[in-house]
Amino acid sequence: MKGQLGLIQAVVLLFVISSLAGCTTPEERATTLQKSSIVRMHTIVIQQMKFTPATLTLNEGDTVTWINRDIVVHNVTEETNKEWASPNLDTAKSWSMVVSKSSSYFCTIHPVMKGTLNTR
Amino acid sequence: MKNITSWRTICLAFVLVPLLYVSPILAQKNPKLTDAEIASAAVVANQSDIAFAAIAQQKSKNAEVLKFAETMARDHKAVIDQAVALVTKLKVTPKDNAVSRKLKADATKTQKMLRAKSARTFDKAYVDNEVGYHKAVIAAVETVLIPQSSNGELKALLQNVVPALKSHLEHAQMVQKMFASK
Ligand SMILES: [Cu+2]
Repeated sequence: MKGQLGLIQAVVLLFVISSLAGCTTPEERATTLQKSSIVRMHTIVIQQMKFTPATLTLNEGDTVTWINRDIVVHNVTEETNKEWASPNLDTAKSWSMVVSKSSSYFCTIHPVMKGTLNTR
Repeated sequence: MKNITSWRTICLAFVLVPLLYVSPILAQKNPKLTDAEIASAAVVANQSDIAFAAIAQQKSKNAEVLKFAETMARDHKAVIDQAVALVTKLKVTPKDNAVSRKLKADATKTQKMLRAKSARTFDKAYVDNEVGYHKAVIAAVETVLIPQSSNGELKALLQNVVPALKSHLEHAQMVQKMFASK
């Protein structure tokens, strides 16, 4: 009986803490993320045979996610030496990578599709 | 009164003549198509390019040509799959028509021409045909199939296919340049 009460208290406490944590605006949270230099996330959408944005400027260590919203399969592959590459991405599939340096990339299935990552 | 009539004729000529000139597919005096007929034409156009790619995969030894053919087979299959899924959903049965029959007849001729090529001349013939074929299909989709689609989802699918067709054209032109510089 006593043990059960303790459990209920713990659950209530957890609930209070988690709702307090949610009491920041998105802007406040974004600032906190930048200040504490926690990794930033970026999304590049693949749609209508294009990478959008085609050029992305970001910080070293940031994470980029490519999501395929097109009707055909695509991939992202480093252009100069194929230093990195995603697997082929079906419609609605995504792939993420931590960016360590500036690079140009393309889709090996559609070599006319190109994109650039610029690190600051 | 007479002026207005001749002005109309001139306008009509300006619209129609380039259409007929751009693509032999459109030489069918711009028929009015139902969605069932548009679906059939779209499927046949994609099947034809898959058939050309299959010949390339048998006959070519060139890495760039083989890669291009693989992309054509893969992408055009994806488009057919989506067209089939859509007509199934809409309960429409693709219907044979003047445009799809013309596409089929032309594709048969092209396949014969490609099969007859020697190993030495095949790659260039295949890529040249891909450039012309994609130009013609883009014109047909943009000026006939999209404007004549009644169903919004069919129209949207066709609109979504255009960027893929345009990138295929650019890809074909890129491979074509490779041959020109040899
Ligand atoms: Cu691609």
